[in-house]
Amino acid sequence: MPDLAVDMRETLQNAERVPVLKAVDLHTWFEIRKFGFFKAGDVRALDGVDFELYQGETVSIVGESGCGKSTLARTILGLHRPTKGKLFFNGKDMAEFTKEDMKAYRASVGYIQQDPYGALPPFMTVKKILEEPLLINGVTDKNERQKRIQSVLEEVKLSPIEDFLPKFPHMLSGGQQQRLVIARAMILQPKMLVADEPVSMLDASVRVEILQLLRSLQEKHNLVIIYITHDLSTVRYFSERIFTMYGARIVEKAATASLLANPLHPYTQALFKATSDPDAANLKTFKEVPTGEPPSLMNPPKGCRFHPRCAKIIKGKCDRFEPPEFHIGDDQSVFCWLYEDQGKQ
Amino acid sequence: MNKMLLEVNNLKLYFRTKKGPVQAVDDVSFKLERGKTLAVVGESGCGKTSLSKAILRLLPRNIMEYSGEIILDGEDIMKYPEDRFRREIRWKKIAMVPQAAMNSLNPVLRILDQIIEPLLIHNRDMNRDQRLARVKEMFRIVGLPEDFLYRYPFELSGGMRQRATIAMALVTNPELVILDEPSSALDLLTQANLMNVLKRIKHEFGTTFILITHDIGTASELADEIAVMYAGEMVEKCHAEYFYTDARHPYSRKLMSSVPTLREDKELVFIPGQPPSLINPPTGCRFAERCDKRFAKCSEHPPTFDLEHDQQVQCWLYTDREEVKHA
Repeated sequence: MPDLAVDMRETLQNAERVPVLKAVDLHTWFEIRKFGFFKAGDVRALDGVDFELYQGETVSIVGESGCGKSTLARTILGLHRPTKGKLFFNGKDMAEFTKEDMKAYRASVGYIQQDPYGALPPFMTVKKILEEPLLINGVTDKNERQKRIQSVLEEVKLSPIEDFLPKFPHMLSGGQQQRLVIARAMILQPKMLVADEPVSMLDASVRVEILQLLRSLQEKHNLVIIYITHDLSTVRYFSERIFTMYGARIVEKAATASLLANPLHPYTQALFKATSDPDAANLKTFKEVPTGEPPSLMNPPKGCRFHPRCAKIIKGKCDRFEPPEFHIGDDQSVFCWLYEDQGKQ
Repeated sequence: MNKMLLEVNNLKLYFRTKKGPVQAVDDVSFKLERGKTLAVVGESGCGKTSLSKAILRLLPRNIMEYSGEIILDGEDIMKYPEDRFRREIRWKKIAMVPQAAMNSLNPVLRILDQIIEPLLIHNRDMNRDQRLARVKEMFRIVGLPEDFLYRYPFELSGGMRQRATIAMALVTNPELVILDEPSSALDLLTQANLMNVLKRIKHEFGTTFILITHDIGTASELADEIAVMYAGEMVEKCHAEYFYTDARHPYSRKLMSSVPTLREDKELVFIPGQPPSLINPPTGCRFAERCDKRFAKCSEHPPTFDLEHDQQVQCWLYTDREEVKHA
């Protein structure tokens, strides 16, 4: 007879280890039509992405524009339906969500947009902007709504609160607008935040302020944060793990410290070399930049997608076979044939 | 030939608005040597772009005050009438790559027609073949293939369009090129590539650049000197090598410590508060309200003090140093 206590403990441990979000072979393709009805092909904006995110984790997704990072964000948010593959939220398949499930899911995932001014309705006051999600999600008690608006504004440090409530978005500075966007994302007490380049439109000094705010919210509420950026230099202050994306795929996954100490994929290395720190020595040296442009996502190159630009290409291999995931060390994995001998698949 | 290419003294540019005058550029003075690059850094709304427009005299209609001296190569070009300025200075001696330059190309004209235009106006003595040869040479310098000349802007990627606008700025062989946020809308690798191109132009042709940017990391790729602007004023100017490690103005120091770095682990600090409105700015030091080193004297407007290494700082902390007097 099985030991019930051991069984229980195992179930509990397993329950703890259920990822908040899990993507299996996720594809999001957009159809291109010719003359309005002939199919001309697909833009493979997301082409086979796998990952798992656990409670309380911050993950940065780094890549250039057009690499599929925003499509990934929008697919996670449920704004695009995956063409192939599955997304699991708390172990439940999102494809099988009912309408109510989807509504509950959207309430538990906050979205922080890139351009705060564009993301805020210009004709609504701060109070209305924050009240609307509560009304939609059935918080009928007026006092309760008031209380929650108060507390969320306190959390994002928009004080004195009374001054801000009747203001319109254009009366706020860029940093304050972004705080308001964060407040709106937080007001339904989500479990996960998707932040799509939350600081790229802001000034350097405000940038740090917003990142520190997000960090403190994450610690306080044990949130999962997906931080999408093209700026490698901010990730070290912000995230535990980094995914590098190139050509609609993840090419490297690593813990932040390992990646910064030792970037493995030639593309990550290129990004690394291209980032300038303020240093007078930069004046005397030229940057090493891979030639060419990112691949077309309608007709991506065969084999590794980075091979036409890669200086370390292995002829006959990289241009013919897709590299599988090689695990290097405990917390780093890379999709690159260079590491075939060192890593285990 | 003068060693100093550009000397700006007490430049002021005020705009008239319903709420009162906006002091976008207030009493800015600096010198720039031939062949050097000056990076102007600061937060948005600090007057960086207004400064560049004031130098090139690209002004909107609501000007309230536009005064000071801009001495280019020994001549005060502020005194030039508009027509002479247009013929002799704008694009002939000073060219500009505007902000979001990649979207500033005319979508219905081929790239060639747009790049050749400055030559048609300023180099009347050239014949067609010479002009074409010159444009092709420019394309080679910025690293674009020749056949792209016959394409339309939408057929080029963002980085390529940005290079085309740089070719357009360089085509008349100007002595000074103002780059207004040349790389901020570009991707990381494209940005690094563009900085390489600019660096090569700087070395090969000795072009003088004024680089307007908010990104100090990228600025360090090109800048020999750094000027920090805050609320319409130039609060510090010094050689780049000293700036990154030894900035003197409290604002510059804070600005530096808010820049995230990839290779070095440091604690980031942000600057609390907001820059003052440029309508009725404080009469004393404009940074005083956000400064943790302020003292009684900061309620008066600080003069510029001269420090070692040719460093100039507008801050009362350096009262023991010699004051800089501008002409």
